Parts: sequence; structure tokens; C-alpha cells
Amino acid sequence: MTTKILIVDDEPPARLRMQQLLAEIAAQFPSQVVGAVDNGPAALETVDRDLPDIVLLDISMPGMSGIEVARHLAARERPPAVIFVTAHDEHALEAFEVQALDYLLKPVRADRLAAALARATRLAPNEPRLQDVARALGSQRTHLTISERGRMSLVPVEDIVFLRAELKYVTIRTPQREHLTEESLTSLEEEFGPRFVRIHRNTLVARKSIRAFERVRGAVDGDGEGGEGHWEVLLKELSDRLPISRRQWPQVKQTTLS
Amino acid sequence: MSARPGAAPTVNSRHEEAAPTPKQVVPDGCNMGVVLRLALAANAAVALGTLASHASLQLAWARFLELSAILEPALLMTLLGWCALRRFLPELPLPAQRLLAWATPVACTIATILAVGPIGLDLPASARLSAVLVAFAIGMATQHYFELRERAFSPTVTEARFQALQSRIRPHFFFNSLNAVLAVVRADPLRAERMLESVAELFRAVMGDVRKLVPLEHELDLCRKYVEIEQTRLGERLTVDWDIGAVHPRARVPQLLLQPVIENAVRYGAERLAGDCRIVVRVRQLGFRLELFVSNPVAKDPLQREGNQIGLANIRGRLALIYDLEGELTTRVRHDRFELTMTIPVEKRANR
Repeated sequence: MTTKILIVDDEPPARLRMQQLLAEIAAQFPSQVVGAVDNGPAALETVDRDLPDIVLLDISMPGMSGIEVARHLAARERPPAVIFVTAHDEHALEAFEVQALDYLLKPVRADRLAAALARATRLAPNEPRLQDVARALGSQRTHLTISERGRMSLVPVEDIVFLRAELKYVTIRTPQREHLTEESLTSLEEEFGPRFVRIHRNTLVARKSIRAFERVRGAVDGDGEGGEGHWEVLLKELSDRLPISRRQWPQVKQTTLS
Repeated sequence: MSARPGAAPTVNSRHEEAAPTPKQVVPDGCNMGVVLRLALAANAAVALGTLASHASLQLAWARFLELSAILEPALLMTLLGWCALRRFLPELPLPAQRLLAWATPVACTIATILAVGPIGLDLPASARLSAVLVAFAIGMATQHYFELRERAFSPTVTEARFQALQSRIRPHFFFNSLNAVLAVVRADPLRAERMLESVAELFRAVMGDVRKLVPLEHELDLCRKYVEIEQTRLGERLTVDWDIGAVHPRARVPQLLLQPVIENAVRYGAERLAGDCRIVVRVRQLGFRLELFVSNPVAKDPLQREGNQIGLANIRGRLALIYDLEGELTTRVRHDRFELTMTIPVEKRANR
């Protein structure tokens, strides 16, 4: 059976070279290249459509990095094996060693490629380990993976207006619509740090979406406190009004007005 | 080829001399940094002196103005004299250089006093003597300061600093270019050859002395070769607009002054940002100064703009070492583009 392979690299000659190498080792390792794409979102699309067995994934790409692509792949029900490819990135390689993730160094050699493909079945992307790598590198995702009715889609982090924890899920609100994710509000806050402000124990608001604060008299806020009224966030993109808890107010005021 | 702090300079560490001795100890009167520092220091010293020796501020001020009539011309003449000493008598033994350097302000002050005497500025003899003594003291202190400074900067120390600022091939660029050459070597051997030649030339420049001044045209040529490699690697996404104005045909720039800036632009404009990347390179001469301008797109989102400056510390350091206050590097973000402007004096000699 031939193995289906997807090549992901933003540099055209690098994709060409990988195809040449796969052709060269075809006798040892018969494979079929289902695609050669130059960016992360296209890679995820191709994976969902053509179901490759192995993804050869360049790490440093503009926009979505290879590590982020792998994290989104890890959310798939049956993720393809991932082999990272990189020219040189000391920090990434260190993190990879720690997490025992496999990688190939450019310029890639035919024998190394064959060996990596042969053991590729063991290389299913693993979200916790990738998350550790991303944390070690201080890299943030540019998108969140959303699964809806068995379909995976991407929500750009810069589109998010606010995030609100409900009972079991976190609601992601963009100007267009709502999505649900199983990721926790705390881990999202940790990863995207300065982009969002925590205004309430269950709400993070995108700093750039805050239009104004307004004081509401006599209403009861989410912490069950009432009487003197509380503050609310007015948004640029949406008409929702988001209550600020009394405990967060001093901090919100300080970080958004400075 | 940006600096990587912490990388050990094992390959090009050289035998270093034990006792650094500068060849010239006369302050460089033609250097803007020296001119500014001396003008400030001398005026401040005279101002403090008059303040200390006069009871009222008004009297002190009047006296200072009087003395300025001697101080400023003497100062200018001294700078010119030092400049000439450095230019025309660079081979004198060090003690002779020092003596001449000290004598210059004294001679200039005496000459000024003699010159202003007939036009009505009549100073008492004691004031004339003290003016000459002050000139001697300031001259000696200045010469001593710049000699110490020169020692602190050279040659071992400067060498070490330049070593630290020596450009390096960025491994990421190096391995990716080799990978790109390997990809085209079968399909387009001629192109592969050209790329390897360009890579070799970049290497030669990177391993050369970063203090070397090369004709501007050489540096531009190197930049074009570098861009060609990057365009093979990154494809049509990367375009560079070259806007090279009329520049003195013998103008020289430090080797690898512009290339790392363009590399920085590629790194942050094309390697980090998706989509097309247009880099603008503009070189023009403004009077006696050369202006080098490079701009690249940056992320619209300020949160994603980190890092553009990292590669620039090295260039700033080199500008400071080579040109002192005469080299300038400014950056700003405007209309979602990162803009960098360097201005340096137009040099026509091979060494500075």
C-alpha cells in the first residue's frame, strides 16, 4: 500500500526538493504526494479533504507556524503522523528533544527521510506535548480549532471579541457568530495574555474591542453583589453589554486606560 | 547575518596584542563627536571659572561674554590645528604628538589675544596669562581624555568589540539557501551555480573585516545578490524596489552595513508575515551625508509586531564604533510599514 503524504513548506524550492527526495526513495518507501501547500490553513484543509497518512511539516512559516498546524491536527479524530522539518532553530530543537518529537533537518537527506517515514506511525501529533513545546518557545496560536457537527474549522484569534465560560464550554464570540470550545478560559488567558482583559471571573474581552465603560445603577452583577451598581463594557463590534465584576474593576481600569 | 549574542567567536578569534598603544594621540579635530564634546567642555569650564571668580552673576556673565571673544576663535583654530596635525603628521613619535597637541590651544589662544587686542578688547595682563593657562589646561585635559578613550577603544578592545559585532551568517538563512540550491541543481544547473556563487560572495563579505569601507556600489551589489537568493527561496512573494539616487561615485560605506538591514526586513516582512512582501531600499546623498532607507511591511496588529529591532542592535553598535556621533539610525512604524533610516558621512577613503 502506498503512503499518502502531504508536504507543507512556505518555500517553493523546499517543496520541490522534498518531492524529488520522495521520488528517489520510492523503491524503499512507495508514497503518493497528495499535496504540496505553502501555509498552515491550506494544510489543514488538505488534511481534512485528502486524509494523508503523513504530513511533512516545515516549522517556520509566516502566519501559522508548523507547531501550530500540528496542534490543530492533534484535535482531529484520526490525525495524520507529523514529521517536522526545519533548517535551523536551536530553541525549537531543544524543545523537541525534551518532548521526544521527531524532526528532520534541512537540507534533508534521502536516507534520513526514509528512516523517518518508516517510523512515522509512531508520530501522531500529541496536543499536551505540542503545547509544552509552544509554551517553551513562547509562541501563540493565530487560530483556534473549532469542531462543529464533526467538521473542523479555524477561528482567527484576532477576530475574537470576547470569551465567556459557560457550564462546560467556553463561548467564543466573533463579530459574526458564536462558537464553542472545550479549552479552559484560564489556559486561553495564559496563552494570549495581553490581547485580552479579564473583566469577570467568567469573561475575557479583547482589548481592541473595548469601546467604553458605562456605569449601571442599582443592577445586580454576576457576583451577586448589588445596590450601588456596577460597570459594564460596551463593545465596538457588538451591542452586547458585558458586566465587569467589582473585584476586577480596579485592574480593568488600570490596564485599559494606561 | 544578524548578530547572535552568546555565539562564541571561535572561528575568527585572532592573536591579540598584549599592550594596546594607539598610533595617533592627537584628538581628531575633524570628527563631529570630538568637536561637540570639546566645544561643550571648554565653554562649560570657562563659564564655571568665571562664575567662581566673580561675586555677582551679572559680572560673571559680562566677563564670560568677553572671554568668549577669545575662547570661540581659539577653539575653532585648535580643532583645525589638531585636524591638520592628524592628517599631515600622522607618523610623529607619540611624545611629539602630545606636545604639539598641547601647544596648539596655547598658540591659538595667544594668536587670538594678539588679534583681538587692536580691535578694542583690552584685557589686563593677568587675564591674558590666565586665558593662556586655561587654554593649556583644557587642551591637555582634552588630549589626555581622547588618548585614554582611544586606548579604551583600541586596538585590542575595539578589536574585541568589533569581533562581538562581526556579522554572522544566520544559520536559518544558510541552510535554507543550501536547500534551495539542492532543489534547483538538477532542473536548472545554471541557476544553482549562480546561487552558489552568490552564497560564496556573501560568505566572503561576512568573514571580512566589518570596519572595511567598500565602494557603495559593492555593497549594493552584495545586497542584490542576497535578495536574489531570498527570491529563489521565497518565490514571488518577495519584491524589492531599488531606488538608488545620484551618489558620489567614490562614496564608501562599511562593508555589510546595508545587507543586514535588508535581511532584517526580509526576516520580519516576509518570513513572519503571510502574503506578498514589498521591501523598499532607497539610497541618496544629501549634501555630505549618505542616507540609506529600508522599509518593510509589519503586522497590522501591534501585538504581533515584536522583534523587528533585534537584528538592529548590531548595526547600531557598528555605526557607533565607526562613526561615533556622526552615524545615525532611526526607526519608526508608519502605515503598517517598518521604516529604517541610516545617515552616515560620505566617505571617500578606504579607511577611517
